[in-house]
This record gives sequence, C-alpha cells and structure tokens, in this order.
Amino acid sequence: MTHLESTLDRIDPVRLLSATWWVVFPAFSTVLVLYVYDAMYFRTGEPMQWLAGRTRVSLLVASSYTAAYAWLVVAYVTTVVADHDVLPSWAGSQTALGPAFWKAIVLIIVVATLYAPHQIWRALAR
Amino acid sequence: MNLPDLNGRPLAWVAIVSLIGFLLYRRDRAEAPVWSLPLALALVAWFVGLIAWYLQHPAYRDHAEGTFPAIAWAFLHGAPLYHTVDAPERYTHIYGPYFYLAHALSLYLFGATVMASKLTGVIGGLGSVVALYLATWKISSARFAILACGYSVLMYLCFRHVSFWARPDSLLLLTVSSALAIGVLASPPWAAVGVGLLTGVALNLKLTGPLYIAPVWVLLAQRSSMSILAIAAPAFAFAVVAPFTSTERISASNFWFWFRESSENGLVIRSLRQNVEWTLFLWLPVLPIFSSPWWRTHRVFLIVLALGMIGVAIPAAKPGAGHYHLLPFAPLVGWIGAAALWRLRSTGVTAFRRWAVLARAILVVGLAIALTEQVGALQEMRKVDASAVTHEIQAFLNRHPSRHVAMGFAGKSMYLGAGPYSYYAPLVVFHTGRYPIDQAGVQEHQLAGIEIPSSTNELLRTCQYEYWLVPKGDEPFATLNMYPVTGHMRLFPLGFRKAFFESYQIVESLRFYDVWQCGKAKS
Repeated sequence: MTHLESTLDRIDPVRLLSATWWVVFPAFSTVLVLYVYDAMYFRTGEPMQWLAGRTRVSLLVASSYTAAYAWLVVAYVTTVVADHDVLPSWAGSQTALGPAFWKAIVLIIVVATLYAPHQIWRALAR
Repeated sequence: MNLPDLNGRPLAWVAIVSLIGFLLYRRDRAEAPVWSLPLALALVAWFVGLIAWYLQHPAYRDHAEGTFPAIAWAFLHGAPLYHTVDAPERYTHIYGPYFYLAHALSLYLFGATVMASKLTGVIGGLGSVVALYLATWKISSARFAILACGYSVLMYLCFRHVSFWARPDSLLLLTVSSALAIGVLASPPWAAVGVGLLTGVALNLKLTGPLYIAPVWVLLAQRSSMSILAIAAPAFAFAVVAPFTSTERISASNFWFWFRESSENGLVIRSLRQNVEWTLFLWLPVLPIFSSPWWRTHRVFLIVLALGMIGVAIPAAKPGAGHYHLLPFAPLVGWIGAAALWRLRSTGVTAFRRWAVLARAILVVGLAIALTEQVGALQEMRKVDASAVTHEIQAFLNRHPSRHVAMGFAGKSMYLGAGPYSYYAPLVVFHTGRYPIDQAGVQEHQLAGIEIPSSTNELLRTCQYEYWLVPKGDEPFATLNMYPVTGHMRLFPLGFRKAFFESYQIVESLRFYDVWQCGKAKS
C-alpha cells in the first residue's frame, strides 16, 4: 500500500489531465456526433439503438462516454483539493488546473451538449 | 396516477436545489443540525415498516420476485440450476449459485410460501443496515452511525423495493455491508478471511459482485499490509469454487454458456447516461473529504470506489439492467461520508456551510425520489387482488394434487392486462416442485438469440403437464419481448403455440385463470 501511495504522490494531476484530454475529448466528441446524428435523422425513440447487440462497439462507446465524466471528476477533485472547498471559485479553479482549465471548460460544454432536448436536433435536421 | 420521473435525473435536481440553497442558506455552523438524527431514525423506521408490510402482503410486485424462489424450489426437487441450451425446461438466468442457494435455504427452513420466498431479500435489506451501523459506529459514534444508516436507507428507498426484493441486489447489499463491518471490526487475519469469503459470495451472486467489495480490500491492506491479501485470496477462491463442486446440478459450464450468450447483448445509451448520473449522485457525500486536509488517508479507497462504480455503470447499461445496479455502493458511501462528517466537525465553517447546503440538496432530492418511487411501488402491489388470486390457485391445486400442473402466460406484456397474474407461478411450483417455463428467462434467452427448442414443444405434445393454468382475458402465450432490439417479437414461437393449442383445450374457467387440459383438444 505504501508503494501505491508513493506512486500516487508522484503523479501530477494537472499534467495527467492535460495529456489525457487529447484522448478523452476526441473520443467523447465522436460519441456526441454519432448521438446527435442519430437524434437528427432517426426517430427510433431510443437514441443509438444500433448499439444493442454490438458488444465491442458498445464497450468502446461506453468507455469513451464514461472517460469524459471521469476526466471531469478528476479535474473537479483536483480543484477542490487545491481550493479546500466543495464549491471552488473561478480564480481558484484556474490556479488549480493551470493549462487544463480551458480544456475542462471545453469538455463541460461538449458534455452539456449531450443533454440538449432532441427537438433541437430534429429542428436542425429540417 | 402518473408520477413524475424524478429518479431519472437526480444530479440535475441536486444542482437546482443546491443553487437555491446557496442563495438562501446563510448560517455557519460546524455541526450537523439537531434534526438530522430524528430524520435519520425516521427514515430507518420507514424502511423497517415498509419491509414488514411487504413481507406479510401476499402480492408480488414484479415478475422476477417469484421467478427465483421458484427456480430454487425446483432445484431442491432435483432440477439443475442452469439447464442445457436444448433442454425442454426454460428457466435459466445468469445469476450466480449462492443467490439460488440462499432462496433454497429459506424455503427449506420456513416452507414454500410467498412469505418465505420474500424472506431472503428482506434479510438482505435489513441485515445491510445493521452491518452498516456496526461498521460506522466503530470508526465514529452511535449518532454518526445512525446518520450513515439514514443516508443509506434513503438511497434504498429511491429504488422501489430493490433493496429487499428477491433478486441478488438485496443480498449484495448484505454482502457489501457485512464485508465492511468485518473489515473494520475483526482482527486483520480474520477480517481477511471474512472479506475474502464474502467477495467470493458476491461473485457468485452476480459476476460484477467483487467490484462492490473492492474498496474493503483497500481498507484491509491499509489496516495491516498488502500481505494480508494473501490470506483473503484463498478464502475468495474457496467461496467461488465451492458451489460448483458441491453438486453436479450446478454446472459451471452451463452457467458460463448462458452468461457468455447474455453478455453479447450490447448496451442502451440512455441507460448509460442515467447510470453515470446516478454514479455522480451517489458520489456527492464523499466530496467534503477532498476539501479537508486529510483526504490523502482515504484517496485509494475513493479511487477504487470510483473505479468500481464505473465498472458497474457500464454493464448496468445492458438491455434489461439499470441504475439500480449501483445501489450496493450506497452503504460504502454512507460509511465514508459519515467518517468525513465525523472529522469535518473540526474544520473551517465556510467549507462546512457549502457542504451543508449540498447535503440538504441530496436530502431534498432523495426524499422526493423516495416518495414518488414508494407511491409507485404501492400502486403496483395493488394491481392484482393477491389474496383472491392465491386462494384460487391453492383451491385448484388442492383439487388436483398431482405434480402435472404448470402456469402459463397471457397478455402482450408481463406488466399489463393478464400479465401480472402470472407472477404467482411460484405457488404452482411450490406445489409440484417442477418449473417448466419462466417467461422472463425465455425473454432473456431470445434477446441473446436463443429460441425455445423443439424439445419444449415435445413437452407439450406428450402431455407431461396435464393442466396449465393460464391467466384469463388475454391470448395464451402471446407475450411480446419487451426489448426494442428484438423488434418486440413474440416470446413463444409459432411451433410452441401450435403444440400448445393442438394439445390443450380449456376445460374450466375460474375467476382469474383458465384451466387448459392436455388430450382434450380437437384433432
């Protein structure tokens, strides 16, 4: 356990976040594009219904999807640890996350897009 | 009455309520409010009262509640737990053997009744609260232990009766809480043996079981050293292997076959989104830990907890699964959350005020979800006049004491029309010791691409069951598969239906069921 603890101590969360963003962001964006395309042109009632029965693709999509949330959670926790508050300030977040701050903002916007009502995508498709 | 679906978006509701809370709540107090203890006690009392009411009620709320005790009873009477792919009987599910063995033990000890069939789940739900109390009390105080139980029970109530129903979830709650209690209370070597055994049990309840207990292994290693895991590992292996070597009626290869087929079903993105939201919602109570100076002490536990939740959230997005799979994490969150509050009493008041607002938001949203869910569950329990149905089935079985009776299915859905009347199939199985067809099992098999084999049709044509009790009012064996990916195809294929209608004819019409007898059909 001590070995694991010291390994964790050596990890710089900001550098980790900055590096992994280049994998997490494109992967989640791809899922978002597939989701939006599905919502725009297919009215199945169940978005991305084609995932059912496709195990490997499903795992890939699920990993990309959850990785984005996990990335945001790590970013949030890093900020909370640095700012000592569950509701960190804007300035405190910028200081804590450094170069990863704007990456976090971009990812939040992309993740939030997924929650847009389907009617918007259908209207755009028309 | 249609209830709002609050359960679907817990995190969004917490965000809204927190926002209002931050605007309105100005008090700075580094103590949990005085009403928190009575509220936690009231929640526990609500949970216990609900369980007592459920236990004495003759109704099943869900089609699966009777399924598993019925399989367990058939197992006690010589049937295999996991039949072969071409067997005439169709009832195998992908839950592990300990789940069925627990039901079998309960039915063996207390008799084959509806109440005994509910007992295993009830013991699971109640036992988890007791174990959580002990685990939290050890690291804090009686007051904080009650707060942890209050939180945990609130989460239980957000999921209808999942925490005490006859599926593995209730037993997983008990397993996780017991592992936590043993991991905290027992001396390290005994704790390692106990946690190892319980992890093996969890694996043989549901294959994702060890993910729920993984954080307790971290506690174990932190209490002594990594070498303690060398004691836990053999105990784990023993618990995994034991049921499969105890009798040839628990076939590891058949179990693995059905599991493998079922794991190829892909996932539902809507469920994944909901699972992720519930993962984050369940994680909220641990947040104050990160704003405290001692967060490093618990970080490995929290990382493993988070990884476990992600590991469950993905398979829980399979068709037919759902966010209730995350529920067994609630005791762990309650425990670590109480530990956080216990130590937070000595930290800065500003951080505590913001945490207090968040805690109140979790409480408000949790209560709103719990109320709507429990009202919904109550409505479902009253769908059928269970006393009259039970009485009718028992009266028929008393008149036909042979083992050649089975229950059939009717209606297009398991949940509508005549569908809920088939939930009482276990009463027939408890009488005969035989379970030819489980509708939910057939549905899962069909989702995995496995149809009813011709041997099942032969079972009908050769009159191996003289009577089928089929719920009245809808067409027999016309149920549609509820999974959209199957195109809502008929569960029972043409060959099966042809065999049934060519072999059986209605000979009696009861109040709730038609009696179909073999050999009476017109040729």
